Amino acid sequence: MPEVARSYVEYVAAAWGISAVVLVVVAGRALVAARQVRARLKELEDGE
Amino acid sequence: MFGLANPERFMRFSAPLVGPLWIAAGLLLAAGSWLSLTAPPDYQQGDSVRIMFVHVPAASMGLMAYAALGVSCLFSLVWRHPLADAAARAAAVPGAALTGLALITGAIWGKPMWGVWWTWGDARLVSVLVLFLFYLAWLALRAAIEDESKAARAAAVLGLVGLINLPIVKFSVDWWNTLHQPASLLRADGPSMTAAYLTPLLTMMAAYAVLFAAVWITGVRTEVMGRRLRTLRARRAMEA
Repeated sequence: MPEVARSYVEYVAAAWGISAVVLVVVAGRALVAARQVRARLKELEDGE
Repeated sequence: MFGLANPERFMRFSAPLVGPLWIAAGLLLAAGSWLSLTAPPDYQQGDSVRIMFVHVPAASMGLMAYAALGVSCLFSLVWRHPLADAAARAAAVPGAALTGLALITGAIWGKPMWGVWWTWGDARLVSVLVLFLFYLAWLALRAAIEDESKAARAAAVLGLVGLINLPIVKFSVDWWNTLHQPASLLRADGPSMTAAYLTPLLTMMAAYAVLFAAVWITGVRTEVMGRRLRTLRARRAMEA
C-alpha cells in the first residue's frame, strides 16, 4: 500500500476556519436582519 | 407556485418552514463536519482531501444560488411578480458569499496539490471568478439605482445575462482541457469516489443546500416585512 502523503493540516484548518466564519456571518446576517425588521414592524403596528 | 407570488400567501406558507429549516441545517452541518473530519486521509492527497468537503458544496451552491437569482429575475422581468425581485435580492448575498468561499477554498486546496494558488489558464477557475463578478455587479447595480422599479428591472436584465455563464461553469471541465479535475459526482456511469468520501461529501452538500434554503426564505420574508414597514412609514408620514 502506498505511503500516506504529507498531511497538509494547516491548509485544512485554514479552509475549514474560513468556511465556518463565512457561513456564520451569512446565517447571522439573515437572522439579525429578520429580527430587526420584525421588531420595527411590530413597534409600528402596535402604535397604530 | 404562481399562487405563492402573493406576499401574504408566501408569508403564511413559509412561516412554519423557517424554524425546521434552520434546525435541519445545523444538524446536517454537525453530522457532515463529523463525517468529514473522521474520514480516512487519502493516500495521494493526505488530509487535504477534507478541503473538498467544504469546497465542493460551496461551489455547487454558489451555482445553484445564481440559478435561483436568474429564475427570480426572469419572473420579475416577464411576469412582474411582486415576490420575484425580493427572491433575487435574498439570493444574491449568500450566493456571492458561497462563490467567494469556493474560490478561496479551491485556492487553499490548489496550492499543496497543484503547486499554485491560482491559474488564469483554467476555464473552470476563470468561469467561477466570472460568476462571482456577476454577483458583485448585480448587487452594485441593484444598490446604485434609487427608483425601486427601475433598479429591479435593470438588475433583472443583468441577472438573466449572467445565466449564460452557468453551463460554461458546469461544462468547462468537459469542453476544455483544464487543470481542474472533471466531474466526479454527476457522471453518466455514477460517482467515481469511494463511499468513505461520498457519504461526508453528500451530507455536507445537503447541509449547504438546506442552509441556503433557510437563509433565502428568511431573506425573502425580511424583504416582504421591510416593504410593509416602508409602506406603513410612508402612510404615517402622509397622515402627520
